[in-house]
Amino acid sequence: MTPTVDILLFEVAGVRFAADASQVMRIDRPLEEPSVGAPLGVPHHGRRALIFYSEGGELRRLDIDKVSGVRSVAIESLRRLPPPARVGEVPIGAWLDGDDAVLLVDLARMA
Amino acid sequence: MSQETPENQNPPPPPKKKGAAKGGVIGLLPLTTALKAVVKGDFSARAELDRLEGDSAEAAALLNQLLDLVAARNSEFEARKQQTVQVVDQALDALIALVRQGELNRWTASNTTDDPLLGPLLEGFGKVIETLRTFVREINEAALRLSSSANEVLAASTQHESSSTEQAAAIHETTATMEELKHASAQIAENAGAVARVAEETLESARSGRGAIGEFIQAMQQIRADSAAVADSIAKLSKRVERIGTVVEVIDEIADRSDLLALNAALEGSRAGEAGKGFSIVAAEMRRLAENVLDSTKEIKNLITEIREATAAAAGAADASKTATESGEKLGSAAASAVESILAGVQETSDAARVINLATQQQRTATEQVVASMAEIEDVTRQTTQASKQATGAAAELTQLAGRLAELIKRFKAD
Repeated sequence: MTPTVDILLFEVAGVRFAADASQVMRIDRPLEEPSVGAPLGVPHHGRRALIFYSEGGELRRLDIDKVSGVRSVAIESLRRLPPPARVGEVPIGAWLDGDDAVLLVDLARMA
Repeated sequence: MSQETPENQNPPPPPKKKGAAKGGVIGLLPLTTALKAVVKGDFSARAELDRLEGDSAEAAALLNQLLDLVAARNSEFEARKQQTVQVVDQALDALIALVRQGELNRWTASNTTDDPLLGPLLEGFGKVIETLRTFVREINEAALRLSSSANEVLAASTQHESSSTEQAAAIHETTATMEELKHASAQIAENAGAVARVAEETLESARSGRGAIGEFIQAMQQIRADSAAVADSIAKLSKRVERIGTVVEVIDEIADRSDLLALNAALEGSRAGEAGKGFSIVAAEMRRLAENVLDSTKEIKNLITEIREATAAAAGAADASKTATESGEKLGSAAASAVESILAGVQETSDAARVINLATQQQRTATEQVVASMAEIEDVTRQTTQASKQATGAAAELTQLAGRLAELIKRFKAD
């Protein structure tokens, strides 16, 4: 049986992203206090926020536009990006949803 | 002039009685000889007294005295006859001169006679001549006056004829003009009638327009009332739409929270592993319903937005309609006032047109009467002209006669 992993699919400024669902503590609405900034781009309306812990164990909030859902995917379908292709440390890989490529991000690395 | 008669003359002395004539044989022979001569017309014969004696001598003396008396009377008669003949000759000369040369001056007052019989006749003849002279003078004067008057009458008649001719021509032209005027009056009367009819129709149209404007104003008032009701309904609708929007917002909030709750439930299900799969399925279904609700509320919001825009547009339209109807009412009132003024003007125009129509009818009748009168006048003038020509002819003839009379009278020389 092929091992699977649950990923959380979301959108920021019209771009689809995916993150390890286990990194997300909860999904909430955006608040007034500052978040981690906009490492994935400035959301259009920012109606959702992902609450997670950083590598330093601090609770962080990333404002996003939309959460598409949680999906179990085969680990084999996930691809790591080669270091030269990475822009910063957040994008770590990609997942092909049919013909669409979805960037995988590591939420914990977001300061 | 006393005349001697044998009775008042002294008788001749009686012859001497000698008893017998010388010779005594002669007898009555001297007496008879003298008587025979007298019978033969010789009144100068006398009886020879010397040869008679006695009664014969006395008779012869008486015969001689008688013959002397007859001779004297005869001489006197001859003288008187000569005078009478002379006077009669003068009268005849005067009469001949009168008849031949018209001379009345031949006879003078000195032509008189002592003849008791002829004197009154000459006196009467003189009176006749004098009366003729007077007549001639008066006739001459009258002829001159008549000639002058006839000339004046001829001139006046000629002038009158000329004036009558000119007058006839003028009246003919006037008649022709009046005839044209009659046609023009008829045309004017017809046009005036048409104008009156058009004015009446215009009056009816203006009255209809006034009624239509009144209905228009009522319609505007009704539209304004309806617009106010529509605006009120739109306001109520807007409030209800706002209320629906509020409800939708609540629903949307609930759906959003449900979506958020479903997402977190899915996360929790993911963390629970195999045990949480059912939970994740329920969460996914729940999330799908929440998204459906959100899609529906979004659609409802869009509809509400469209309804707001539509109601705002309807409210604007209602306000515009209200403004337009108010403006329409004002315009209708202004139009009603204008139509009232027009109606009054048209009424006056219609009245004036009727009056003009009546006046033109009367004018046409009057013109026709004038034309008829002018025709009669033209006929009378024609007759007058004809009479003037006849009068001129008569005056000319009268002038000729007056001249002829003057010429004739000139033949008589009274002075």
